[in-house]
Amino acid sequence: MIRIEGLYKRFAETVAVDGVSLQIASGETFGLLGPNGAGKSTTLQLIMGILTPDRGSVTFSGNRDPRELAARRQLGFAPQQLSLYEELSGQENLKFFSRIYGLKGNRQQQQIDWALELTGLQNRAQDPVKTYSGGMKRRLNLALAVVHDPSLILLDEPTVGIDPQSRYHLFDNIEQLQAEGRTIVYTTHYMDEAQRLCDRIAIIDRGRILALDTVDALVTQYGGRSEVRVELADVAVDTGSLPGTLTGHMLQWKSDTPLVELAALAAAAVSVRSIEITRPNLETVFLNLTGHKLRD
Amino acid sequence: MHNVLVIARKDLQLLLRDRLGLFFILAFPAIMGVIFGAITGSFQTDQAILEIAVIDEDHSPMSARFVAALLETGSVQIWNDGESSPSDRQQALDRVRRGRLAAAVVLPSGFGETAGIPWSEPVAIEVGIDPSRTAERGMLEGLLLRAAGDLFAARLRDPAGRRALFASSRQQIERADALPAVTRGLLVQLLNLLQTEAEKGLDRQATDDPDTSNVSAFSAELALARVEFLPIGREPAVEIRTAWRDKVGSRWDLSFPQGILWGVLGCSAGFAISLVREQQQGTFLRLQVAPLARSQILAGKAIACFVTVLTVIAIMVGLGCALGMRPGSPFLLALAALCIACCFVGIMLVMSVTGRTAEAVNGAAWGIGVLMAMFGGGMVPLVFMPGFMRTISIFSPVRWAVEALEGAIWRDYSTMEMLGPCGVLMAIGSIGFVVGTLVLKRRTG
Repeated sequence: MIRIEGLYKRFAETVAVDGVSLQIASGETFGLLGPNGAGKSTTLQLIMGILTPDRGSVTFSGNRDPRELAARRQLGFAPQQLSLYEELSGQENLKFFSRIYGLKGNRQQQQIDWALELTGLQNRAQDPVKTYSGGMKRRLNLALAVVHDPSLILLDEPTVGIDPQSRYHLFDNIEQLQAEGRTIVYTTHYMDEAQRLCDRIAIIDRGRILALDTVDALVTQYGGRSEVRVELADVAVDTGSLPGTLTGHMLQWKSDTPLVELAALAAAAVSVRSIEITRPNLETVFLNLTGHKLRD
Repeated sequence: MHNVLVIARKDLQLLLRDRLGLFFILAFPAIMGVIFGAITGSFQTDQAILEIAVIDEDHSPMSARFVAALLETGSVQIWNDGESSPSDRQQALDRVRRGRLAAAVVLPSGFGETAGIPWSEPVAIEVGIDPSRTAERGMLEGLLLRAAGDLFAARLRDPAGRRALFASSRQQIERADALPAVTRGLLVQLLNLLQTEAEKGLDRQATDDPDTSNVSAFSAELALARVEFLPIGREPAVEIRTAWRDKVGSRWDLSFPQGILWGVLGCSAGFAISLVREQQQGTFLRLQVAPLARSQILAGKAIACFVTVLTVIAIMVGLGCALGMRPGSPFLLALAALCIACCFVGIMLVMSVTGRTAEAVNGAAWGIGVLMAMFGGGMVPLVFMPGFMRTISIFSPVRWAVEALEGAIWRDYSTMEMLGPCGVLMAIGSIGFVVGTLVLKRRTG
């Protein structure tokens, strides 16, 4: 569906995208994760053909350049910033953008109805957008990206600043789009979103891809060891035979094989009050790869 | 073209939804234009009348006749009706000093004895004029000389007075020992000739028109020079006050082109921010992702602006017509409106890509607009500007727009003559569109 080869883009002295290469298959949901200023938005703009790369190329299926107007017809985009005409109603916004993509007549109305239904905005379709809540605006932002029935949808942090209900509604919408076989490129700061929605993830920083694989593979490869915390009922045991360090009643250690050590404790008849095992997740992978230092 | 029209329709829809924006783009310029038109209209009529005081210290029939002649010019309004007392002189001069009157004219004692006799030593008319109104000094001087000319005509019109005038003049010449005898002889002959011609004129007038009080016919016979004002376009000759009064509505012909231009400037400034507003609210990014060329996005905005400018012009013309403006050629007015719309749409496009915030673009649009109006005759008519500013004005689109409107409304331009200003306006509009597109393309990668 999308082939990106050696993509390079520089703004003055800043290299925003530095040799990014990847392929996204048709029907796949692909996540782009990275700290602020990592180059995610620039990569998206290069994919959409809004920016021209200094080096490298982006091609859609059929060997199409995204800057071709015909290629853009199969592209839908929901920007991070709410991009709506606030004075117009939801219906009028959808009408305008669907006309721009060449829809008219019954087909246009069908698509508008479908987009409104998908995002649950039918009842407020005639109201001016300026009267919508933040969550409704986010949903309309998504509806505008899909109203023209694109096969490739780019979502730039689509759940920023909304309540959990609206967020989960958007997840449902995106999963419905996935089920319809559309290709989705998704950027987010929320690891749970990426973990839930994305088939594969690229972790990007300083314009470079640091890791690219499925969530499980990334956790296995970059997540590190599990953290085990055991609260002992009785501390009058031989502390020399215990794994990890004991602070008061709390025993904790890191391990690739936590169950083996727990079995050994049981065999030694150590009395235990509670056990907590924290497995590495995508967030651990992200922090391990990009570091804990603040990015401003 | 379909997408361009869709964008234009959306922009007009947005304009109609934004009531405050609509007011500032449509209603506010119209109000401004009417106010401006009213101000400039009054400059061209009422302001031409000088309010003065006349202190008549002579109290003779001739001084009264002089005051009446001044009033007949229609260019002065006498504050104190010519009535005076010794204290009036100081009071009048004081009012001039405080700027309440343009001038005070004092007719000293003895004024009537020699006034209107060209070859006598006249008693000087004393004039105190407001130093800030020196431009009107020449005008007042001319009006005083004209009134003095009336006195001369009045003296000749009265048979007894005429005979006495020539007799006393002849005696004065004969008693002038300082003059050589030959010169004295020549002057007496000249005086006799003048008397004979004057008598002939009066006889002829008596035959043609028994009403010997027909002043204008008599004055025409004796006029030293005759000035006729040629009609230029449909502008009434400024010295004919009655013509102005008869055509009181037509002062809008002169003032409304400037008013219309203010409307157009306001409209293009209002539209200039729409592009940067789209960039700020993110919808421009959506438009960039859509299957649209940047030139199509700009063209859509240009058409919306074009329609709005034409609407503003139509509203202003409608207002002007309601107030009394009568366009000479509706066809040429429509042509001028189209060219002006093209020009200011092009300027709007350039301004819309100059700044990165709505505030910056709005400020720049108004700033540039005011400069263009200042140098183009949109604030002060070109005729009142110094020479160098008139030269600079050729660089202001407002100057060409005003010329096109005036050409269609009252200058009676032919279609060929309209090609000049209209060509310049179209060229500016085209350049604006190309520059706007290139700058936008460069700025958006």
